[in-house]
Amino acid sequence: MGEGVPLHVAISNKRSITLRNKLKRLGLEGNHIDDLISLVDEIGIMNTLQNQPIGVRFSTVKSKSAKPNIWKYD
Amino acid sequence: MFPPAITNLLLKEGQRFEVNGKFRTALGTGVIPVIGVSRSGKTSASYSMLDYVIKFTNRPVILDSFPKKVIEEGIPDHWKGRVSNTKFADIATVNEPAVWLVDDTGVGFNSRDWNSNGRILARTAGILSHFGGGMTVIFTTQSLSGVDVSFFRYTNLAPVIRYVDNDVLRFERPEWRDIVEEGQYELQKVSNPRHLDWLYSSKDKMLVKVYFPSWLDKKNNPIIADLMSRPMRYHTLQDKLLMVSGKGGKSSKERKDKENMIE
Repeated sequence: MGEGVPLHVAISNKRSITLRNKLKRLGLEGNHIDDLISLVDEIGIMNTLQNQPIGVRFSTVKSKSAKPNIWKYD
Repeated sequence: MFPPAITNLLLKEGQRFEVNGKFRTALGTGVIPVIGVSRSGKTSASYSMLDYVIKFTNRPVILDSFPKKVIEEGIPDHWKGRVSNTKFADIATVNEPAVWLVDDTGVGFNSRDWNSNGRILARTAGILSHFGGGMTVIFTTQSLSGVDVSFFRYTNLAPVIRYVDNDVLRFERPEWRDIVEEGQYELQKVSNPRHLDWLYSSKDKMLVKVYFPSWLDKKNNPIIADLMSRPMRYHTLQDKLLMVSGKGGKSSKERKDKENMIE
């Protein structure tokens, strides 16, 4: 994958990209700027998911994958 | 060593074995189909099971139609005296609770050779538990679509899944495709790409680490390892030709043409 915004951000909300460009032009950096970007990203993703079926929304939830069932013997 | 469903068929009828602190009594008769593409370790995994049979039971082991050369020069010392190469077609002549290894069933017992070996399978499946006081058949095959379905209908099964290529999987029998696919999904959780050290026991719903006997290791003795891992290579040319042509089967041109048609 090339550089740029992550795919899930790029397809969720154009404001995330506009904001990134704006902040870059202004030369603003730092933790508080990163927090602002992730806040806008998350709002955009949630807006997008609101219009998706439950299956799609569920598949975006982070969860532990089931451990393989391995036969143990002495 | 093996999970309950497999152990249940490998031990002699009535032998007891422990599962999670509780004892069970072995059934000692049924079919263990080992499914996997070529060089996926089907035969080697079967030897691992037979080694268990030799060590923990007094059941005789029969390597169906194995070349004489393999029986004489390939089998390990502790197997000697316990192993023979009787043809599966002669199963009625065996009066002991034998464990059979029928290797590469797709060639010998092809469902298209219904008039020959396919019929033997159909007839014996239902009476495996009677012959010799209860027999077990381990058979290896690249795809169950090539094996006569009657063999699975009338007996206890403990299918073992090894690596099956995605493109081969598309041609698996619809009844079996799910478990073969499930096996591939489970196997890729622990190894890849060909999962040689693991098998999936679909009845137990468990992955099993396979410990191969040391005599199968190429580093120890490459000649014995090859004799045992691809025994059919050591048949005489005449026997190989008979295997490929489907001896005894109805093989008229008209029938072959009909078989190859897509209906």
